[in-house]
Parts: sequence; C-alpha cells; structure tokens
Amino acid sequence: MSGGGDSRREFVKIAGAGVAGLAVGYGLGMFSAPGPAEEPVEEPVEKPVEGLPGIPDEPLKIGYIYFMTGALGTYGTNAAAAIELAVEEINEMGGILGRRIELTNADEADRERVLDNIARMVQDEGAEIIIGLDSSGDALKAIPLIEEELQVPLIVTHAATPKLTECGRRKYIFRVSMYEEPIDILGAEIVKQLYEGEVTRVANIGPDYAYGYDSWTIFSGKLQELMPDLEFLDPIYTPLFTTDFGTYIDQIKNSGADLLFSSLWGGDAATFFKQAVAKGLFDSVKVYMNAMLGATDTLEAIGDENVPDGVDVWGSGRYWFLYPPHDVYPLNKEFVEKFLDKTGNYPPYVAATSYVAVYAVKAAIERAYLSLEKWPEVDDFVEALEGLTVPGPMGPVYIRPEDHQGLYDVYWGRLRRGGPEYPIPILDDLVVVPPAKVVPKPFETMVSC
Amino acid sequence: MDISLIVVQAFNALFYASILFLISSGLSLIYGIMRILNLSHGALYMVGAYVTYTVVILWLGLDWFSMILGYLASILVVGGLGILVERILLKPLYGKSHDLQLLLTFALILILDDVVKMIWGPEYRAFPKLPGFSIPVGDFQVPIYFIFTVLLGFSVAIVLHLFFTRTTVGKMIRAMTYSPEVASALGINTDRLFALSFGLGAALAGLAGGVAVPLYTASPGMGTEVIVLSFAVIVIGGMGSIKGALLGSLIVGFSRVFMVMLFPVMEIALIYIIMALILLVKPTGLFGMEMRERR
Repeated sequence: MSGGGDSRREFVKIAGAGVAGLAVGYGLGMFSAPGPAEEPVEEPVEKPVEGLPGIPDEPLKIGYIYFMTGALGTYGTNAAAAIELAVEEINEMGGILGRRIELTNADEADRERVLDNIARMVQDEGAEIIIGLDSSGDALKAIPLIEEELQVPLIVTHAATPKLTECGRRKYIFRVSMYEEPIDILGAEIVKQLYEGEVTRVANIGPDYAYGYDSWTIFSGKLQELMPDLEFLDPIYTPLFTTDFGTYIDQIKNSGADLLFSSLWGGDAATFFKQAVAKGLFDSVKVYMNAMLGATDTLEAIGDENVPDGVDVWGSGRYWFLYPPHDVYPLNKEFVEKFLDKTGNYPPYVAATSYVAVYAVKAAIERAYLSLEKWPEVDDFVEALEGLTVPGPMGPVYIRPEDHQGLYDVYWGRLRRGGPEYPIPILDDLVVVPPAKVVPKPFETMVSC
Repeated sequence: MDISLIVVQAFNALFYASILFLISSGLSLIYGIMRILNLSHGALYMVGAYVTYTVVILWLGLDWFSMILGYLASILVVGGLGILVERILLKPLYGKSHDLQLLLTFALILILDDVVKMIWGPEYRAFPKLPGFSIPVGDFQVPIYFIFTVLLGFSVAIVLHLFFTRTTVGKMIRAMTYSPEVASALGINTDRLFALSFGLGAALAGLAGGVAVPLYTASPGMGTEVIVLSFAVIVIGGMGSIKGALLGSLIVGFSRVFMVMLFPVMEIALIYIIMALILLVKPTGLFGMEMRERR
C-alpha cells in the first residue's frame, strides 16, 4: 500500500461510526417514508404468553425452501439450522402469543418443482408463511404464484436480485436480506475513497448468469460515475462450478488490470482465489474486491494460510458475524454463540437472514395483534410487516414499506488471517455505512427491470 | 500477443485436458466394456476427492508423500466401492432393460451425495493451498501442481494403453468388449472381469477426484457438473475408447482455452458445437468406429 494512508484510516474510522448509528437509528432524508427512527423497535415478548383471546389452538406452520442438497446444499443446511434455532427459542417462550410454530420444508435443488413445492407446502401442508429461496431466478419465477395464486406471505432471505423488490410493488413478497445493489455501490465508493490515483484498469470476473452481469453493471456503473478516468476491461464470466480458473487468471494478468472486481460466490469464489494465489495473479492486481467473500463457509474453504501478503482483498456480504461488534450488541454475540454451538460453524449470512425472518414473523404478528386484538389475517400480517423494525444478528432490520425490502447496515471488510483467534480468515478494517448512504430510493435501480 | 502468455495458456489447456481425461477415461472404459452409462461416475469422483482430502489434510498433513498416499487411498476406496456396486447392485440387472441401469446409477448419485454429507458434512472442504510452489514463465506463473497433473494424466494414459495391449487380463477385457459370448466360450470368466472393469473405471474416477481436490472446493454434489462435460468428451472421442477419451479431453481443453482468449462468450458453446458436428459427421465419435465394426 502506498499513499493516502492517513485519509484511508480516516475513512475507515468515519465509516465505522455506523456502529454508533445503530443506537440512534439510521440517517434520514433519503427516504420519503417515515424512517425507523420514528418507528419504535419491537420488543420481543420475553415471557410465555397464555390464554390471550383470539389465538388459534393449532400450531402456526411455516414452510421454508432452500437448496438442501447438491453442491449448494450448505446454504440450506445453514439456513435450516438458523430457522430451527429461532423456532426453538420462540417455542421455549411459549410460541407467538402462545401459539407454537411448526416447520415444514422443501428442497430448492429439486429444480423442476420449486413452484410446485411451494404450493404443496401451502395447500397440502397448511403452511401459512413461506421463508427462503436462494436463487434469484426462483424468486422471480415465484412472484405470480405468490402474488396471484397462493396469496401467502413469502419472506425471501437470500436471493439478491434488485428485480425482486425494486421492479414493481409486491403485496405478499418481502425480503429481509440486503440485496446486491447497495453492496456493489459501497464497493465502488470504497475504491474512490481509498484507491483513487492508485488503480487505473478495472477487470471483472463473475458467474455467467444474471447475478454476475447485474453486479458488474452496478459496480462498474457507479465506479464510472465516481472515477470517469478509469479504464474498464471486458468483463469475464465463468460457468458455475468451474474447476480450472487458470486460463481466466492468466488472461486477467495479461490485461494489466490493477483492480479486480468479482461476484463469484461459494465454492467458485474459494477455488478462484486459491488458484489466483498459486498463479501469482496478485503480483499485478493490487486490489481485489469480492462482493460475496463475507461468507464464513467460503472463507473457511479459502483457508487461513492462503491469505496473501501485499494485496488488498476486500469482501462483503449480507451479514458478517463480527458485526455489530459483540461487546456493544449482545444479540449478535448470542446468535453467533448459539449457532456455533448448534452447528460447529460461525454463522454465514444465510443463517442470520433466515433467523431474522422468523423473528420478523413474530414481531409482525404481535404488532398486528396489538391493534386488532385478534390473530391477524394474511392482509393484516403483511400490513404489519411494512415499516416494521426487527432486531436481528446484523442489527435492526427496517422493512421499507414501499418495496418490502429489509434495510440494515452495509459493510465491506479487508481480508486478514484469523489465527490464532479464529480458525478461518476474517474481515477486518470494516467499512460500515447505514443504508441511507447507499440504498437507492424505492424502485430506483441501475439494473433494467 | 505475448509469447509467454501463449505458452502458459497452452499449458493451462494441457492441464485441464489431463483432469478431464482422468475423469472421462473411466467413464468411457465402463461403457466400452459393459455398455453401462454410469451416471454415478461424477459421484465416484466426488468420493475420491473427499478421501484424498481426508488422508492429506485431516490425517497426514500437506506434502507430496501424503498426496501419493491420498491418491492410493482414493483408488482403493473408490475402486473397492465400484466392485461392491457392481457385485451387489448392477449384476442382478444384466440382461434387463438399460433403463434400469440408468435409474440405478442415477440413484447412486443421490445416495453417495447423502453419504458424503453424513460423513464429511455439508460444508465446503478444501485444501488450504496447492502442494508445491510456482515456476515463473515470463510475467506468468505455472504451479508445479499443474505440471504434476499433466504428467500424471499422460502417465495414466500410457499405463492404461499398456494394460490393454500387453497384459493377459487387459487382452481378455478387450476380447470381452468385442464379444462377451465368444470370450466366455473361450473360457474367459466374464463375470469376474465385469467386476474388475467396473472397479477399474471407478478407481480412475477416484484418482481423478484426488488429483482435482487440491485445486478445487469439494462439496456434496460436486460430481454433477463434471459428468456433463465428461459425456461431451467421450462423445467427441468415441464412447468406449481410451484413445478417444484422451483426444476428446485435449480437444475440449484446447478449444476452451482458445475461446477464453479470443471469444469468451462462446467458451462453453464451442465444446458442444464440436460435439454436435462430430455426431453429425461421425456419430460414433473420433475413435468409436473400430469397436463397432468388430462387434
């Protein structure tokens, strides 16, 4: 690293003030709707509630659908563990207003029958709420089924395409996980703040489908706006589950790129990284930014020994298990400890977002009950979700009423070795900003709808 | 264009072809001898990856000696698994509809995916780094492990060739390939050779998994993607031919690298275009004719 060291630290420090922002609520002004500062955080009901009038006797059934098997099965097993954890906690407290939760599930890896399986959970198994969906393609395909046919609430916790929430008003579909656009926008801001003058040529490597294309559109679009003099190279897109990245790595090296943006995820992100280190890619690429690196399972696959010296590697995601810091935000600490205890792993982002989805259900039902004094109908429930703020491991999640998008702090962090404290590489020097700084207004997106 | 880039990219193509050859040779062999399209070949490759990972990373520590032991363990475990599968599951299906064999090998994928998940968990399993260092070539670097893989791939091709042309067992297997009935009439124990052949094909899948795992990120289901490309390789080269698998791997390896360098959008498409063209011009694949004529 050279030059701009002081301003760099300064930026990191200022951005780190996002932590303090948690206590006072998010910055306002960008939103037309009332922000969370005006909306009290729903307090979880601590004691078992019994004998409230108007509560159905039978349990509340929630269905979840994730990739449970196959190469992406780790998403589903982590999400399922987190959902079970939340349900156990709530049922231990006596359920939601005294009504216990029961779970059913389906495997998103059953590619031909994703919609059928959602319908089955609702129609045959009596699921009143659906949580899940890893694939953006599946989430978009499910819109007509959910909105028109089934008319049950779907809380998406992973699929990240802006199109789900930003390309039209949905009634029953919500998303509590951060979508890709704010993450990519913050990535571009970081490049501007920290590396202006140091980088000149920007390359991209991403998965060869909508997510990879959209991420590059957003990141390069924002970066071009911020630093018009940069040279943007032709983006590289690789098929999912590529074994050999060597060819792409040598092409990138040959291109003379000094900044590499990547939207590779999961095993592909780890495979690419390992081969890039072995092939000396980071001799010429000085800054590597991967929007999906902040997943603990991916970092574990990269391995602590494999973190190179002399290159700035940045990662982001929908949640980072060390943010908000455990000493100032016990909810995250408890969640990390419980998840570690249950699974032996540090929670990846899918765990935190699916965990908060269950608590969003609880908070919305309680909120509706306060005004209705009866168990809410579907329409009451979705109305109660709008504008709700739910405390989650990632901090309070504010569900924006217009587009049903969950908003919370967005981060990027610099990769460093985790040892001896952690067995996996971790993200350090976190740059965290409140959503108001980087989330576009409702229904505004750089991706074409 | 920089000459060192061309050299390094040619080497990348050879490397990729070597991995493909290790995977597809076993698939082709099983088809050639037994007429079984083994859909679970990718799942066997996955088991091989996990076995080498276990031996090297979980048990012995990363060095070349433990790598070799890891490969041997993968060959033995997956080869043994292959023989068990053939004896217990496939044997009762001989002479029955091919659909049953397809269904069975498909079921094996699901079973093995779950077995792997039970033993090793759903998490990614990966080597912390590649064994060995990298050699500079101009501005580029070639990891020793890439070179090792290429040498290993070609050595396996030579060993297989010698096995089928020089050894009695190899010759008996070839005889059986052309006509099981005549081979049987000549006193060759075809029953036992079927088990041996399936075991050998499976062992090759296991070795392929072991060789690929240091570069790759293992997870349940990792075999599913690789099997599709392997089918393309053996369709191009000719189903059942080891020579064909080698040539098919080289064609796929080089055409991919060529496309990434010149016209990346067509990277995957070109492989299937070649496959389609070969099917049109020579439906048996480049080296498929020989066997068919003699049947």
